[in-house]
Amino acid sequence: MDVAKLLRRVYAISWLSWQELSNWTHPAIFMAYTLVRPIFGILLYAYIYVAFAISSGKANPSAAFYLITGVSFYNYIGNGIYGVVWVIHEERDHYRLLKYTYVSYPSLQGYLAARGLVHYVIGFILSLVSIGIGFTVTGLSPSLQPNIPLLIVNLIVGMAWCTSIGITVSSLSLFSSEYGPLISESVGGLLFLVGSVIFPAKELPPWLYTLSEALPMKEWMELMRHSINTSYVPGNVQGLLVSQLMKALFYVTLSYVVFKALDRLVRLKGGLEATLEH
Amino acid sequence: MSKWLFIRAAFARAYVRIKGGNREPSWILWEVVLPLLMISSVVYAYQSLKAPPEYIGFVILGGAMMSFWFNVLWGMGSSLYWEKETGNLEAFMTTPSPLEGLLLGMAIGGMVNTATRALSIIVMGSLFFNVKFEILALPSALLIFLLTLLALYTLGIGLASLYLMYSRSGWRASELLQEPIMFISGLYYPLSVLPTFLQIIASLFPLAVGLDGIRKALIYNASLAELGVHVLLLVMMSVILAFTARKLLRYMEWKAKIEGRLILRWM
Repeated sequence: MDVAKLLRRVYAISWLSWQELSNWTHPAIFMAYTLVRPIFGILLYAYIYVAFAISSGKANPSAAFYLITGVSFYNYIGNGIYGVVWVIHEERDHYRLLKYTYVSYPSLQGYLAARGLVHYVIGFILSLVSIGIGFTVTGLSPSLQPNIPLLIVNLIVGMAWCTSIGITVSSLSLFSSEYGPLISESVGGLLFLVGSVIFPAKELPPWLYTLSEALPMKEWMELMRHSINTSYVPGNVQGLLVSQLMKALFYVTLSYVVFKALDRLVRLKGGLEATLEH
Repeated sequence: MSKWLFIRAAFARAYVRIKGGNREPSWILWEVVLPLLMISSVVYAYQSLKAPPEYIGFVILGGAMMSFWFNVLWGMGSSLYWEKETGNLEAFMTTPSPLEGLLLGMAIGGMVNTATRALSIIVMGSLFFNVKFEILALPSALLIFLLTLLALYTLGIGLASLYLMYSRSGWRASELLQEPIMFISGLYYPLSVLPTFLQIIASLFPLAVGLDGIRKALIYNASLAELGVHVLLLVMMSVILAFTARKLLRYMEWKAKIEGRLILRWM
């Protein structure tokens, strides 16, 4: 494999992603636009804690830490999955580019993965900004003891499984311009619900908890919390990492197989360029 | 402008919207299930925090009302962007049908469609999380609800006019108006937990005022007399927003025409 060539491709696609995201306005406006949503998002959830604290008359710093870190780190996964899944809908229905992408890039699967990279970078920056704001609003000032190597490993593994889930979902949206955006939002919403983002997954009813066990989100989120503050111990850290790695491996394989099969099928059925005319 | 033509245009556009929005039952299911995912997350969060039970009702009512805001943003505001992309806007502009009539039709269609989704969210959320509402306060809640819709959808007509001038940046503006309005409207909590200056800002938004009034009626059994300020604020907002939306629509149409941006896509 020619690594230099691969990196050049990834760079070119990331640049395209960046341009598509940002070239509609001035850099300052784009920065404000990028920050506004997560800032108000974290305020929205921080005030859930504030409302609880006011009504109960007592503070619960560990609950605040859980909620703020969960919502903040969700920016990484939420942005990443959106960055991958939205591409098919956007290129086919909005810009009518999918056919050109298809014939100019060797693998649509690789293209989708590369399109998500910029979104993960932005998502991570937003996570850090959100944590700062969330801690301030909820009055938390924890002395963080980060584990940087674990943080980096967890970010990479998270990107791998999240991109794979995104690619699997994209392969479904190849068949439906109508449901593409809905599928994208549903997967994001589902990960938010079952992924120990704002409450521990064990609070879920058993049938939903089973779904939570099938996804690597819960492990990823708990490890992110632990990696920025090692005094937060979510259980067996090594066990969580191994479990997440195994699930990541499964989703990477699944996305490869499913995408190959459905990509072939959609071309056979002539549905690749079927737009909705929304 | 012929009033008859205005009414016919509104009726025709509302018919298309209602018929189109309900033609595919799976769409309705998605539109109910999707908000329920977020609502359930917050309900579980409150339950894990052991918050007072009325907060669950706050969340369900907030989630249902938020679907109207999303409809205003994406079904009203951005609809002219979609018409632009698909080439329908040229047709709209060249027919004798008044644009206000078309937008009114979109608003009526959007209200009807979203009302069915919102009601389903309330019913399913209440059954799933065992929430009780004060049914006797339903008339007051309905009045506040209708006034809120009136104010919200006139705001939507104003927002739609922006898309005559802008495309992609208008789309981004709609995205930007999601979380801030969710936050300031007290989507998941009572407005009283916000600092005073934010409560004052919130009182300028129809959704915040309406949601607060509906919650007070259905959760705290507030009488219509106790909701007088809400009614007054919503009536004032509706009048001001209707006047502003009409002016803005005319101005944006004129500006888009002289700058040649009326049917320019993707910029």
